[in-house]
Amino acid sequence: MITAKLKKGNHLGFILVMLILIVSLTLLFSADVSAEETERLELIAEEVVSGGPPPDGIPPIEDPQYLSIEDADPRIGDSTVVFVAEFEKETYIYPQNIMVWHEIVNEEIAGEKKIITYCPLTGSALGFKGNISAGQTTMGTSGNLVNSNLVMYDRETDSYWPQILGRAIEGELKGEVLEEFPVIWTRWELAKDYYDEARVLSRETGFARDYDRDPYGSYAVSGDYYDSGGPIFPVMNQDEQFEDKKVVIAGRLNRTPFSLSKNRLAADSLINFTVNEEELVAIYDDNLDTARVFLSSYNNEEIVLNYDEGEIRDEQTNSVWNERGQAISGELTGAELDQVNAFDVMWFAWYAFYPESKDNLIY
Amino acid sequence: MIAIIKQIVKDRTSIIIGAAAGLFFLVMYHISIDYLHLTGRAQFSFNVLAGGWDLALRQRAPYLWESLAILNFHRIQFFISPLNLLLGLLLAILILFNIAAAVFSYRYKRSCNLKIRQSLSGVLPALLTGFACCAPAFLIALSPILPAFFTIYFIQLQRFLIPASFILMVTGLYRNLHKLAVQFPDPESLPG
Repeated sequence: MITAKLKKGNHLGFILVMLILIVSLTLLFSADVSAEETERLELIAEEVVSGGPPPDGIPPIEDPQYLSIEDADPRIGDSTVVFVAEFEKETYIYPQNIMVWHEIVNEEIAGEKKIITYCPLTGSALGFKGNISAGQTTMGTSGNLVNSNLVMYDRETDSYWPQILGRAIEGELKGEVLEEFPVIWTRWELAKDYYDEARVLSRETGFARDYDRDPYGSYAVSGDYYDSGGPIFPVMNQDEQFEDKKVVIAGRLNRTPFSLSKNRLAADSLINFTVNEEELVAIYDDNLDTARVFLSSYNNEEIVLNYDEGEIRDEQTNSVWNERGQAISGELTGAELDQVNAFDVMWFAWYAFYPESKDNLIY
Repeated sequence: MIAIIKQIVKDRTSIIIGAAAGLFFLVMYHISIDYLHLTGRAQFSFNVLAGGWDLALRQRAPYLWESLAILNFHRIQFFISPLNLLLGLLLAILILFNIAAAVFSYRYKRSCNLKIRQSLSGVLPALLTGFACCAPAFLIALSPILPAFFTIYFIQLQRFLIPASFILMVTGLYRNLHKLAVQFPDPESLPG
């Protein structure tokens, strides 16, 4: 009986020790991650510099007006870069020659705030949902930059959010991450044929700007800021190996950054790659000269896609897939791969935020 | 000094040359802030934006405010910002008087020891204004050769260029008028 009591006591003691150990290790581990993350955000926040304008000196478009493709077409050159946001019911097109003067469009679709952003200095266009822990918000331009990238501020708490990071680096919401949605970087000549029902951002922005002129140059010709020279503002990390203005398709999988050369993807059409032991596939869409990245799995089963005689087929069932990650014929018809948001960005800017992304770079 | 100013204003040649320089500056100032430029489309229109004075008082950058109206005259587009028009006019008037004083002293140099070079130096600070306004274009154009840290210093410096230009022009004008007043104690006796 005594032995039994001792044994019971031993068991309880062992369980207690193990529990304390697990809790301590968990706390220690999470504290380490949090401290590391906090330190990283603080380092980034220390590098914020003034770009010259005051807050909202580059005025976001707060009440966007739209035109039909037919009405917008005469004022947009075929080679003009446009950003496309596909929502459930409607598609919106944002011409770069307007966005370059405003950088942010605050939109509300089906009661939800959406923020379409473009930073000309880093060549990055991203979409964010306006849901933050402090409620629904719109974003403004802070007039500051970090790593040459637009620093936004939310109108609820004034926290600072670098566009490429999509995460607050300073203020009440420090550490919070914005939910992204894909914004497609393409050209007007492709978008107007592909999305014939889309709504196109109008020049009636409420501000006087020369929308026929881009202060940084032009994407249509070479030798301008967009494809030559280095960053105008200081950056935290600079890579010596690759060209600063090389366009990469970049994204994050569970906060691990990855990037692929857009030219390489356009040449190969499809690239399978691995991030953190997770299989991904990047597919080039020549209809829009854009790229999309997907998880290479469906219903927890691995799906390996390959180009085969002009068609994308999976190795497992030989089903045919399209550039949107949808199975269009074969056994898996109707299946859809989960998209991982990835966007065009100049290499120098991505590297400046994520030097570790070189480990997951396909060049 | 009031007497010499009256005499300069009465001197048509000095004032016309000064006014031409002031007008030239006003045009160049609006070109440098990109509020006066050529567009790709020829049109004639005048549009007042909806924002009213809230918009007109909204700052885009140091000493740069939003426009309230857009005037399209053939291929010339003019963004009308009341505050920038006012600032440009103020600086243009300073240039007008600096130039007029320089021309005046040149015309009467036989009886005046003031050197034209000295008088014109009062206008040089106006170049700072142009430099301040062109800064963004300047930085973008030189980005391939300028180190990035230069941008930071330049942006910090930029906000002081227009006040510096203003103060230097006022100082230069005062100095020149003072010298002219000393040289011509009785300006009305000068030949017309």
